[in-house]
Amino acid sequence: MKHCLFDELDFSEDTFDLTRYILTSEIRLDLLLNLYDTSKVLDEIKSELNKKPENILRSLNELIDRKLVVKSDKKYFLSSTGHLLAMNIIKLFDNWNSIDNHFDFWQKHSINSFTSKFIKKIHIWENAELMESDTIEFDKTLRVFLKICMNPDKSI
Amino acid sequence: MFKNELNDFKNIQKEIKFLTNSDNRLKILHCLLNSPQTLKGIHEKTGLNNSSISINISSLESKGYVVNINNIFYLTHASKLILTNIFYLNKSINFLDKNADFLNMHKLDNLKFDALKDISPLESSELIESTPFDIFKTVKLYKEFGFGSESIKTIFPFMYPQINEIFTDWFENDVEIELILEKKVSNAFIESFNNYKFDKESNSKISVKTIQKGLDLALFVTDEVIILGFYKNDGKFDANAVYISKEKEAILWGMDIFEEYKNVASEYIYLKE
Repeated sequence: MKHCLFDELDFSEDTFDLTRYILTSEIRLDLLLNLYDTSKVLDEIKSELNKKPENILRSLNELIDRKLVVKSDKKYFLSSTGHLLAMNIIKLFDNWNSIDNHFDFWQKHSINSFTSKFIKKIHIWENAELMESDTIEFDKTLRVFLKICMNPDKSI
Repeated sequence: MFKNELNDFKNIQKEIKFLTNSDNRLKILHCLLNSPQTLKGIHEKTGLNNSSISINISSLESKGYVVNINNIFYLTHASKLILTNIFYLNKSINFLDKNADFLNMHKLDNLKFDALKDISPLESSELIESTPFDIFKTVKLYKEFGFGSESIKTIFPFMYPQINEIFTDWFENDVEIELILEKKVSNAFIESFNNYKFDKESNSKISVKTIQKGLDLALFVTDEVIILGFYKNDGKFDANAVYISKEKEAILWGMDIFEEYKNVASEYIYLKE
């Protein structure tokens, strides 16, 4: 029987509390991404996010309580955990876009042999070009493949 | 649901909210991720009542996440790929939450490795800390897991105290060691190596890459373990605490980090007796 990752995945014991807390709140997510790789004073944040100032301040304090944001000398920046969290969330969005860009392709092909690593790095295919054979160029994909194999250092 | 109208941040965020906001919906999605099911099958596997199942399945169908073929419900392939990513992100978030106090005492915002965009493999790891009664607890781990390993990849921030003991073990066994060291440590290591008295020939291969800029982390990966250490916010390496995992996924993740680090280091120096 062929190995299928999806048969084995078990997330049933995992709690979703913090994930929901972050991902289902537009303003908290906006703040995390807005502060990624930078520090800002409150006025800068207010001017960049299209949200009510009182909501921004309340959400910032919530994120500070959750140890994801730090305030120092009137500047806000991500904590170490906030930084890693933002990196991981950005990757999710990149993966989502990649999956969506090639929705029809994925739907028409088996994904049962995909590894978890491939699925988690699927964003690398976001800008991939789909090459398909047709009735006129029946062997197109094979020809391109062989050309690349024979000239690995040259781009086509 | 999918297709190009969702290729922007706000819409993706709304979809994530739809998928994760309800525990019942998550149970159903998890059930279908493992295999297609009838309504009865979903009820048996999740324990949810039929009304809740019907409502959620109907919502999932209308948004295109689930398709009904002869009364068997399937996740679309794109849904499976998306959900797998969400579930792994959840693991990463849970790890960060559980370890927030420790991680926030360490400088991680300068770490830009691609591997860190998915830290779910660390979910299985254990934090080991030295104590006043065992101040060398973490240092001893490197010896415990290094001895007897056939292959070691390591990014090491300090000169191991009993280096000759390490050399003896390496040369009595056929091992392949790749080290990435800071300049000062690299020089000291090579000097110790050149001063070491070899009793016999060995098939071991030891290669050293020197990194001119400071290290950002400490990493020790063998076929059986990954040990990971960080620098504190004051810039000093925290030798008193490391994460350790023996899970295959964590070990492979550690090897990915090592490969990324190799690209920013100098060329290898291959050490010979």
